[in-house]
Amino acid sequence: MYIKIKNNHIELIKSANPYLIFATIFAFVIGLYYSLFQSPPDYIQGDSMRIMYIHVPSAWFALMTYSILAGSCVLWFITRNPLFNVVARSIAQVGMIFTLMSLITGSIWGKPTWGVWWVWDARLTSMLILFFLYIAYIFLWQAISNKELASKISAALAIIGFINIPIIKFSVDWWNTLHQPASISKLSAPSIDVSMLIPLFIMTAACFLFLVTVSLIRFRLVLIENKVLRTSN
Amino acid sequence: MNELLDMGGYAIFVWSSYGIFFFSLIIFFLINILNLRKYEKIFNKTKNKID
Amino acid sequence: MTNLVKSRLIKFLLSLIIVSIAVLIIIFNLRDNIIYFYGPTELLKNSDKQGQIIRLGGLVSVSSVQNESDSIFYFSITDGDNKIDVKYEGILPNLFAEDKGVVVEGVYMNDGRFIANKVLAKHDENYMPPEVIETLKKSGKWQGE
Repeated sequence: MYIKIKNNHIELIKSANPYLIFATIFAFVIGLYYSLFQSPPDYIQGDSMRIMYIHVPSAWFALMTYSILAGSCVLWFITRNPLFNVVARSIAQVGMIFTLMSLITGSIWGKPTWGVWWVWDARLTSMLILFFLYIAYIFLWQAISNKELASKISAALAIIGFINIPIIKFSVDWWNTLHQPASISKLSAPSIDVSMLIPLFIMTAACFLFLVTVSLIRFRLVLIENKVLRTSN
Repeated sequence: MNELLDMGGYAIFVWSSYGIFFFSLIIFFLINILNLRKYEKIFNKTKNKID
Repeated sequence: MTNLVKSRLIKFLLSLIIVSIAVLIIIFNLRDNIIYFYGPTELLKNSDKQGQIIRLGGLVSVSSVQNESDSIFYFSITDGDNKIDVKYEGILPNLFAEDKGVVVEGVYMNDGRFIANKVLAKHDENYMPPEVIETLKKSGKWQGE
């Protein structure tokens, strides 16, 4: 089954690319100014809390990207429209990078705050499992040469792995963990001061722009990869 | 300026985490852009052959 | 919706239900192993934990920290209801303070004391600049320390 995407849609994505790159860089520059210069240090953690401004958006988008990945795998499984498969493969690697970044920056924050780089509590362990799920998804697809079969197996893995997402989200509420519970939730006022929320939200917007920019580049890459694979066979 | 570099004694932690974060994002972005160029070239070649 | 899509949807939902039930059973049974630390009240209820290497977490009781020498510390950990006395030999993390969260790893002795060999500072979810804390304290609205 061939993917039905109009050429002018691809052209539209292509022409948006430079603007998206510019917007991402712009948002990151503003975000850096706010998070390193403008925002005050925390009353206990001091300046080490500035790591939060990159750690928290990374973790948010690690979870969000996986939800989209699992969602498009479900849609692909049911409808077998190859477009959903392409979407899943476009965003998987960006999600993996964000997961890795939240693990690394969290670890660097943990050393001065907790006194250790790593602990095996529920939140950290489930986040590490998410990283392995991303890797497994990406490598399974590459390792199996029959691409129809590869899509089936990797999609099944992504869907089963989705059970990890609510576990990550609620691990800090369900079990005693060393990781603190969420500071920002819908049900209550955030326990972060406004002067610290502003840089956090700018950095979140910048990370979102990065996610969109790279995902669209990868979308074109995956489409063309599919075409090359098809013509070379 | 020194105050900014010092980060209240947390300089290594703050600067290394920001450094690793942006370095990885830029590298990841470049890998994908270069891969796209590479595949576009291969694709154009095969298309020319068919034509 | 074609019949093929419908049958795939039904198969998918069925397998989803089975997998979620399996995961719920696993999580429910792992409960005790996933808990990273116990509170003082939980630990006092479970006397079978005595003599084992476990982790204990809570707040450092106010004015309970005493140091015998530069590296031997005595303090107690509380959850508001119960207290457990802790002895620790080593270096304390920077953020260790009275009335702040802490997790200690070590042996829960038969006499009810805790000999720790590792102390981790536990941070709460509040992020505030120092000036805000000052004004909150002045106006008497600060709920913390």
